[in-house]
This record gives sequence, C-alpha cells and structure tokens, in this order.
Amino acid sequence: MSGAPWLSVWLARRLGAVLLVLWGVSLVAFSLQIICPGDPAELILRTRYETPAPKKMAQLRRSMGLDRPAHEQYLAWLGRVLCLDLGRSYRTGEPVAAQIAARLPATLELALASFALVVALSTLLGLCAVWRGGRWLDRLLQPISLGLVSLPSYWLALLLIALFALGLGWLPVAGFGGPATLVLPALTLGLGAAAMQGRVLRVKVLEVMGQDYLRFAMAKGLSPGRILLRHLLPNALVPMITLWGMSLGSLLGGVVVVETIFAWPGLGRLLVESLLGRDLPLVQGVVLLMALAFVLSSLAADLLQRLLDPRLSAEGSGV
Amino acid sequence: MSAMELSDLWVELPGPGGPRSLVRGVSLRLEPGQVLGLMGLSGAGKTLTACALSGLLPAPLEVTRGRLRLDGRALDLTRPQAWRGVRGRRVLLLFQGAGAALDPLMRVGAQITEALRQDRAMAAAQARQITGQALERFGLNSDAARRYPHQLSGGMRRRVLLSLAWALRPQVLIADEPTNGLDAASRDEMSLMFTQLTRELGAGLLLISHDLRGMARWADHLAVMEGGQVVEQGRAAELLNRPSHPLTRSLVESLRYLEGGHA
Repeated sequence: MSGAPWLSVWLARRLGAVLLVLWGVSLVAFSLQIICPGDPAELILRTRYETPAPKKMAQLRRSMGLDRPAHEQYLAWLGRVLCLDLGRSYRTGEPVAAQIAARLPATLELALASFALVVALSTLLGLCAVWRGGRWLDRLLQPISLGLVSLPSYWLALLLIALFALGLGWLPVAGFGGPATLVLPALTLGLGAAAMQGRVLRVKVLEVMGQDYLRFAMAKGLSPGRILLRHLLPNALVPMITLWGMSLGSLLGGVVVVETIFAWPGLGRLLVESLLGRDLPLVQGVVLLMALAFVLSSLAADLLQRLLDPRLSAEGSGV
Repeated sequence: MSAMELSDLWVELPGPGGPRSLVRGVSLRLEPGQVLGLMGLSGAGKTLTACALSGLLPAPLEVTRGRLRLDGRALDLTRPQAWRGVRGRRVLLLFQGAGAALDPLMRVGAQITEALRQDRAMAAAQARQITGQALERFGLNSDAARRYPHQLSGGMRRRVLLSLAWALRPQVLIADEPTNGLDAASRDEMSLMFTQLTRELGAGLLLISHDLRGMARWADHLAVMEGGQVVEQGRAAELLNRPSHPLTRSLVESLRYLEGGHA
C-alpha cells in the first residue's frame, strides 16, 4: 500500500505537528538567554579573563545584537538556527555546530547500542512468558525486571561498576574507546527501559496468545516456529514500535547522567559542561538537537507502525 | 469405512481436590460426506470435545483417555505429539467467532496459502492457484486474496474460512457454532455451504450448534450431550421422531414450538 494517498496526508499532518513542537522548543531554548540571570557580554568577557569594562561590554552587546528588542533577537536567532548556524561558544569561540558534530558520534554509538539492547532484551523478556520451558525463568525475571525498572540509572551504574569493573575486573571502570568501554554505559542506559518494555511486551504476548487467530493458526496445523514468527511476534511487536521509538528519543536524553559517570565524551557531557560554564549557545544547540531527535524518532516509529499494520493505514485516510 | 471414530474420550481438569472430569467417555462416529450434529445445553462439554478432537485444549485441561481412528490409523489422544501431521491436514477445527480467526496483519490469501504450504509440501505457485480456486468456489473474487481481514465483511470472512477448509481437504471438519451471531437467512446459507462442502470433500462434519432448526434440517446423525456424556445418539430422523432421553425430548419439544411459531 505504499504511495497511497492516506500516507502523504498523514505525513503532512504529522510534519506540521512536528514543526509546531520544534517551534515551541526553539522558544524555550531562546528564552534561556533572556531569563538566565547575568549579562552574556559580561560572561564572555569574564571567561576570556578580560575586565568587563562598561565600554567594552556595550561594544560587545551591540555587535551581538543584544541591545535590540527580544522579539527581534529571537527572529534573528531563529533565522540563523534554520541555516544551521547555532552561534559560537561563549567560552571557546568555536562554532557550536562544530562542537556538537565532534561529540555526536560518541553519543550516537552509546544510544544505538542501548537501543539495540532494549529491543533485543525486551523481546526476549516478553517471550519468556510463552516459552514452555521458560516458566520458571519468567517467574524469576518478573521481580528482577521490576527492580530494574525502579532503579535510578546513577545507582545502577555504580552497582555495575562495583560488580563488573572493580569486583570481577572484566570491564574498564570508565572511558571511551573500543567495545569493552561501551558495555557498562550501554547497560546502564538501556537496562531500565528494556525491563519496562519487556513487561509491556509480556502482557501483549499473553494477550495475543489468547486471540482466536492464534488458536486458529494452531488449528491449521502450522509449526510452532511459524506461529511464533509469522503470527505471534508481528501482532505483539507492532504495538511496541511506538514505545521503542519514544525510548530511542529518551535514551538520547538519558545520556546526560550516564556519560558523566562513565566519562563518555558525548553530547550529554557537553551539555553538563556548557551548563556549568553558562555557555548558552552550546546549551541551546544541544537542547534543540535532543528535541529534534526525540520528535523525529517518534515520528519514524509512528510511520513504521502505520506501514506495518494495515488497520492503521486504513484509518489513517480518515483521521 | 467411517471418516473418524472417536472412542472413550475423557477430558479432565487437574485440581487440588483431585481431577474433575468434564468430558466423560464420549464416543462418536463420523461417516464420510455426512453431518453429525452435536447438541446439548451450554456447559455440556461440546466445545471441549471439539477442542480435544484437534489437540487444542486450553492449558490446564488434559485428555486422560481417548482414541481416535482415522484412515485405519489409531491415534492416542493423550499424547499431544500425536497431532503432528494430523491437525489442520486431516482434522480441521473451525471454532466460534469466525470473524476473529484470521490474523489481522496478514492478507487472507496468504493465510490459506501458508496452511497449504506446511512442511514445504507444495510449491508456492500451486498453493496460490489452489487458494484462488478455493476463494472463487465460495463466491469471493481473486481480489479478496489480497485483502486484509478488516477489509472484509463478517460473511466474507466466514467464506474465507470455508475456502480454507476446501483448500486443505481434511477428512474431518469440526465446526463449533459456525452460525453464531447470524440472522436466520445467513444461518441457512452458511449451514447449506457447510453441508455442501462436506459432501463435496467426502469429509465427515461434526457440527456443534444451538440452532435446533438448522440441526434438524442439515444433520444426518445427531448426538445429544449432557454433563460431559453423550446421552443419546442415532439417525437424525429417528432421534427427532422418537426421542428417549428427557433432554432430547425437551429439545425436540422446543424445536416443535419454534417450528409451530414460525408456521
């Protein structure tokens, strides 16, 4: 059904909504520099170890356009952002976009590894409930997954470090480089979401197991493998896609804590550093990028779900 | 030779106070091309008998005794693995709620083809061709094969299930309340299609229904169940004319009442 008119209509509407959300985020990000106490010009001069003399400050404010009314500043800023010009860092004077680009690969690596973990582990957890030999495992995993859902990530990180790095010595405590350093941060970031979604999927799987079409697939004499792959999994997983998409977005946001603990040179640490240094353009840039990633991954998930579930495609033309 | 002979079927629910017997020693005989109607009040064990007859009892329930003779081969119903190669191919169960029996994410044609292609017994092209013929046989055009279940009406979905049965050519067809939720006219049409299908395939049809008028009209033989047992069975005409068990008598009376009220 690709190329059906419902798809373009739906996509146009959703893209409109996405633009609206992003506009809201841009307002919030921009207002940081209005609301935050302190004069950016003074900040810049101080970070350059220059005396914030009134004359110098006035000069700088004029050159940055800070003497103009707020709405004019916003429009000028938005215009630059739309051209991917995110300004320059107060502290280093480097372009924000370049700094983000330098840090992005490390964060993407971490977020995608966690995402793969979330998808794989939640699917396995969900399927334990129906695997005949896995009943005891299912019973064992229920309290464990509940525990993982409730553990805050910084605490989980410390537990993992104590166990695998300090206790067993299998993995490095922190740092960046190579698959070994990726394991603990990815686990910290993904385990909670994987456990939560495993629980959701488990309920979904049990629900599908009780459906007439699944019993009829058995009555047709299909092999257990085919029933699992062609009937049980698709019906249980399609509703999970939205959830997974949202988790990809929130994983990108979750890197702030995890990257700080594991000394991971990604966007999360960049955000923390720039917040501590009151480097507003850098904060704005990272916030905008994370919002964009969240919105786009949700949109992609919704789109995928609609393409995979013919019932939603049909409704999409009307809604 | 009969299409199927079931002897001494017991279904039990294990419990802390000992197992509870829900089906107790049921024996049934299906003749090729004939319809055996299974009647009885709700909870008499009709549906459990049907599920046990294709190895699809829900989890805690189990068959503790029972033999099935198909094609001169005897199956021990207490062993679930006995159903491999039999279920779907030689015994096909179509159960209540026909509308929900099709996977919502799969085109209906593919749902017939996949059943034909189990164990790679048939080439894809041949399976698709048979699927097309089967759908056509029940008045659905070839376009229907490419549709998803939600795009078909309830009546069309029932025809898809009949097409599936036609394509699979089982020796025994079990239909649990195939006319549930239909108006009188569609009920007759559906029963007629089921009966014709049975005759055409030379299969035995075990028809479970609350529709007494339909049973009286379409069944060759009748069996009446109460409390997990068959209390009376025989040729439909004889059983309806000279009912001996009190339950059969009351069923026949309500049938007369229905027909009288209708006339």
